[in-house]
Amino acid sequence: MRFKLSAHAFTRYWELHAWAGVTAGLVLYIMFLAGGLTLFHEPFETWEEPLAQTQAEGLGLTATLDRALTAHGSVPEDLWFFPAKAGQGEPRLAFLERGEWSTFWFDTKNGRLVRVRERAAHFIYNLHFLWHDTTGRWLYTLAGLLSVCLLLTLVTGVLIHAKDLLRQFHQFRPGKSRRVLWSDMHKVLGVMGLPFQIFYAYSGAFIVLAPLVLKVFAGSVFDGDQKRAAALAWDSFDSAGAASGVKAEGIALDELARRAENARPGFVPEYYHLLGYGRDSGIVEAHGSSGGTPSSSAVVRLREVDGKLLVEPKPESKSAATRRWIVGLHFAHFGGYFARFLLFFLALAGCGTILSGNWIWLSRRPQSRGNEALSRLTVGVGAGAWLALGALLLASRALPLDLAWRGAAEELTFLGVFGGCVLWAFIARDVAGLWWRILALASAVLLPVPFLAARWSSAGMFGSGTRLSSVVAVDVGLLGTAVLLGTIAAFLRRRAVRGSNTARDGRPAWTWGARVLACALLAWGVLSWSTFETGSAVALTIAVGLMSMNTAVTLLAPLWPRALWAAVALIALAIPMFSLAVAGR
Amino acid sequence: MSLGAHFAAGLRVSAAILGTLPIALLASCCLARFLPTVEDARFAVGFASFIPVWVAAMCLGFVSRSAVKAWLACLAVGLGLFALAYGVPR
Repeated sequence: MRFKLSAHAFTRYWELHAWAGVTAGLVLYIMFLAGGLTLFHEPFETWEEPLAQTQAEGLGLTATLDRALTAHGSVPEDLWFFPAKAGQGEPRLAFLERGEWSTFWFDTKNGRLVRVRERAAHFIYNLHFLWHDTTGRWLYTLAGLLSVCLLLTLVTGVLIHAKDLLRQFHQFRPGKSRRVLWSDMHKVLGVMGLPFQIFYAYSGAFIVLAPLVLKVFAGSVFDGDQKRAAALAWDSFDSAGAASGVKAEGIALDELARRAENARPGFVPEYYHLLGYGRDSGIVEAHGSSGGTPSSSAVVRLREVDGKLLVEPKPESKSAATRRWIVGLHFAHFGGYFARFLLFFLALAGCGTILSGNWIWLSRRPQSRGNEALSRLTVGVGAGAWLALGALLLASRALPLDLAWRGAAEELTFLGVFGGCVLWAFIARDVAGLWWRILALASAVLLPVPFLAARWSSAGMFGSGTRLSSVVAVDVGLLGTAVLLGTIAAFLRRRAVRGSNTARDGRPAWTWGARVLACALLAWGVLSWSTFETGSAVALTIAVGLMSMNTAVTLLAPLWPRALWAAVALIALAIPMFSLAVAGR
Repeated sequence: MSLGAHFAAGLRVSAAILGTLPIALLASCCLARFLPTVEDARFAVGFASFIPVWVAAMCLGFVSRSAVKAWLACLAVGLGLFALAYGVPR
């Protein structure tokens, strides 16, 4: 039996889908784009700061921390300590300074603290959930509500297309009119990325809104006991009084780290939260992970003075475990860089779904002031985000490294360029031509960034020192993006000059690029599958694998439908079977 | 579209978005209170389900043909769930 809505429900859901998408779409576009880039936050952080690229001295945790605290001149009551990771980079300290959190690098060679000076990666990370210290929580809460709006848009999209969802999964007719092209693109990308988008919308909304609604649950379920509700929801720990004791000689941090490792099988401490460090009441929280699965992050708490475990390793609450799993999936704590690249491309597909949704709206609705504004906003935001990101990275490499206000200058550059693009879109005569102009500018702005990066770092592609893979990878990624944006701009310009949207064979040339990309992803996925972590990550990696499979199916099907369907179906069947075999290994 | 029709549409949309929020929260609280399993598990289910329940309630709210009916339905369901969530002992 086929699912079919009544005419009334169909109309309502169609309107709701369109209005919700158009209203929230462009902000979600920025969130998707920033979120996709945030999947590579760690390499970006290493790339942007020379102090993250040094060879660690190997002094040990206690000696390093003591030297850093000596350089600071006092021991903060609430202190975070981030030692070098895998022997690379200087350690960092974070503590409250005049009521605000400050983070410092500890320059071990010169024995001085250097305030964190580079914020580009951090800014992009915060942009993903609309957070900034100056705007505070309300925009962050709005990001959570927009995620609910996205979820609503996705559910209504499925409802209105439920009767022919399978067809929308693969129907792609780039040779037809532009309206059909946008419509097919929207549906194919939407259906292909559906599991990804639904999960990210849900988990994003949950991460932001769950702490806000916990009070309601505390009132009804726990008779107003907030502490018990928090303990069950997040396994929260009451550390009050940790800094109230007197100075005492405690167990060395290296030994505490070893005990934390032994407390949980496979646990590897990565950084430490020190409360009342150097006092008889001090608590050390070792934060780390125990494998490459979504729920692998963990905290082990020890009393500093005698190294006793404060909470015996007991099964954590189901709610806290669920939240940890949701957060682990959202942050892609699984599957390594293969999963991250797939999620990145799915995030870009999400951006494409949003833009094509706006274009469908514009092509179906009569001309009005509102639609004219939407058309211009779509160009200003859609293309302007790339130029603003390029300008942010260019400013990051062009400004002097020790400039006191470089963080603010970078952020203002981003906002200024982004606002400028939106303004340009509103005053431009040729709106369609703006796409290639802004993208060409983004390419031109991004192109010199890897070369300029050599000013501060010798570990990159154009550096003269020992190269670091993460730094070189970011340089290559930026160059590749610059070339890709330039190519797209050139293609769009040529199309604008010719007044045609099709290539010689009757299909836009970019679909061939998409096909090649899909095949490459597919091959890479098949080849690297056996290296995946097993356990709870397997279910999701299967889903991600199937989505990439669908990319291939969708884009290759028009070439040679039957044979390709059969071949891809066989591979699609083989991959989960193989991964299940790996899981059972 | 007349001013009255605009007003009615606004009321209907607000019922679907705002009127369903307390329903979703209270329904999730009821799940967390009354699911036939241990407290830890029922709280996990209830707490994780408030967003899907809200989205489902919004989808139902949007197909309502009348703003008054939509708000009355929200009020009636909300009061019933409130009584369950706060008045009925476990």
